[in-house]
Amino acid sequence: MKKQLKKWWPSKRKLMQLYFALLFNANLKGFQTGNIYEGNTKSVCIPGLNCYSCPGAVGACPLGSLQGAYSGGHSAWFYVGGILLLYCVMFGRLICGWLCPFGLVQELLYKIKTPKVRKSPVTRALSFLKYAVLAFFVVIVPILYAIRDVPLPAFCKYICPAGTLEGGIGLLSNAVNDSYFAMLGPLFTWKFLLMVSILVGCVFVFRLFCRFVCPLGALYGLFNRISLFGVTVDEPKCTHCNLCVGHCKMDIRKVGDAECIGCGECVDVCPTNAIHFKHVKPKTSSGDTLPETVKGHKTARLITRSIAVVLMLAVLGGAVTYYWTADTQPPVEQGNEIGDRCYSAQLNILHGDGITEESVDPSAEGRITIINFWGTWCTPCVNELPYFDQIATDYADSVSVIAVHTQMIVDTAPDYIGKYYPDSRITFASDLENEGYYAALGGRGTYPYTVVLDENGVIQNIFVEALHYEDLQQAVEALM
Amino acid sequence: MSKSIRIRTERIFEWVLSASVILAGLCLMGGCAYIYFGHHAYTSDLVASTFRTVAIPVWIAVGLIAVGLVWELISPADTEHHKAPKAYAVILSRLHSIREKNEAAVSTVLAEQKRRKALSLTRLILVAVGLLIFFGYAVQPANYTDDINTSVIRAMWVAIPCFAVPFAFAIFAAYGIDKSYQREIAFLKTLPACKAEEQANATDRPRRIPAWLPGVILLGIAVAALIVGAVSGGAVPVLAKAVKICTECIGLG
Repeated sequence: MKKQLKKWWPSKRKLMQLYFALLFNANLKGFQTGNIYEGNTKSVCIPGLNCYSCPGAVGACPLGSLQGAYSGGHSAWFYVGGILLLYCVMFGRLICGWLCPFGLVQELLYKIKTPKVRKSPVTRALSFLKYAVLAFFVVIVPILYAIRDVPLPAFCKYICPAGTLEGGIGLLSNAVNDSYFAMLGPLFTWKFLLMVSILVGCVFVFRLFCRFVCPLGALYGLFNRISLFGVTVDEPKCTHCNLCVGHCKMDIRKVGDAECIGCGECVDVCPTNAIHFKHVKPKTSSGDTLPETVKGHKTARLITRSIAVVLMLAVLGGAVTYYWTADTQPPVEQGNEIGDRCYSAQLNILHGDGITEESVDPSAEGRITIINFWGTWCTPCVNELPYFDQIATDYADSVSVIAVHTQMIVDTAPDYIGKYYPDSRITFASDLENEGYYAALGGRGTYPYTVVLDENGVIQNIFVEALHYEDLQQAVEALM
Repeated sequence: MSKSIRIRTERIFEWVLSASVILAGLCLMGGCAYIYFGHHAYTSDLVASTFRTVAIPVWIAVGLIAVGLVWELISPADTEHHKAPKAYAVILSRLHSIREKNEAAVSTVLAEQKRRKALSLTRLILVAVGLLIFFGYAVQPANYTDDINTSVIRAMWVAIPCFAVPFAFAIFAAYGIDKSYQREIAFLKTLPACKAEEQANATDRPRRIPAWLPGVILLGIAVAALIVGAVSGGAVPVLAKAVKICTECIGLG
């Protein structure tokens, strides 16, 4: 009966995984509104793989932040590097086993009752693939493009199934984001096929993504042996029977090596109780913890655990309540639509020297005006800027192009403009505080975002995807 | 229901569920491929109608999964039996210590050890060569053009031959090493046992560096880097990226 009850009740680890999955995605309102959270807690990287474009995400993804840090300056390198190193040294791959939301998804899929693919020399060899993914997609390619001032999160763009599942499917499933369908193309097709393959594979192979692909797991695994928390083996007690290795579903050679996710399922299997969590009292041969000679220790332990559970639930409840009531969404009620007169605003002009005191009002030009919202951190934005530059040159007599940089990290823009567009006919400007002008014109978080006005300042076109020269030319020719 | 019938029923159910899960996955992928390779534009209506046509296999899979979960919960809890993989090094060290050593035994044992070393070394060389060739290509900026997608795809095509050969050999080597261990153990078991020698207890070498020291040093470095980064405004670029929808990351282009 006890075994049957044990089957019904989730294990402590499963409960912790569920808890942290909820905590890291506590912005439940995002699923309702179809928007992502834009508050300050997003400057903190959460330890597991959780896309920051997920409507519920309240923190930043460590891999996405790392790839973005290459073009974010030295301060970003120290900040993101410090956070990642802290997680590596403190927990190692314990994060994978206890904190990662995508790890939870994989384990739940594995519970589906099908024949399973057991570990073998093939899976052991495949487990080295994730180091190649880490080196190539997370380090080499983003750095090589960052040197050319093209921010490219290669792993997120080409591989990450968590982004497709949580961000892509999460946003597209909300009817308010119907306009995003226009952006789908070969990249979405590739990522969707990859995501479905990985998820179906997870039904048959335990933690397929963790074992063979995840670069974050690869990074954490490098520090597993020296991490302050994790699973360890008491060598004098170990008889090398290898029951732990046989029981483990990961490709470990030894408990606590780079493949060990610290799930602790081997602790109960060891016949000599040689395996235990670091800094936790090991079990005695009788199977109980070390004898408690002081009466009341059990009561004290029960009280401590109860307090811990109550505190954790309070933190989770508080987080959900806070994010539900927080007002950090852009003021979408000010958004303009096609046919409306565009709002006016005085935006500071940017030169290669810096932010000037001069200003420009995009709606008051008296010419066909293309307003493009962009950012130096945004790959599609910097890739399409040459087309805007070309349009501004080819139609200099009748078209004004105003490229509005996000107000956040606007200090990165002047250097970029001075280096790549010193003599451009584009007027570069800085957005208002809290991306106010972007929000006023209907922007809802995606960049690049382009609005085309006719000579009377009336909105004629709105584009939420990256544009080519032909798209811009078509839009301009239609108004001439 | 007798245990054997229950087990047989479970096996059949598992295979049926596998097939339905794979079919559901293929239908989802097929729906997506139909839209893209059929040169249709992605719209919410087209996506909804396409996936409505493939909904039946998906719902069947979901239904079977639910049945499987309920079955798992109500069926009796089985005691798990774990088979330990062979710890060859440990078995060999024990056999070596109690078997009489003679010329033939030594030469046979040495031959098997040489064979294992050769396989391991060849594997290492192939991996190193593959890595050198691939990363020799991958780290050259000239191989990355403004057409980012084409550049990355080309690099992947370079990676396939570089890693496929070492991977295939690694599988072969793993099985070869396993067989070599089995041969050596089988041979040692045929030798007459002599008086058991005291097997010197393998004592741990005294650690010159405490085990906790590297972790603590790295922890100090991490905290220092975090403080320096936070104070100098390193959180701002992270926040700037995180509060915008990364359209590339979620496949929106």
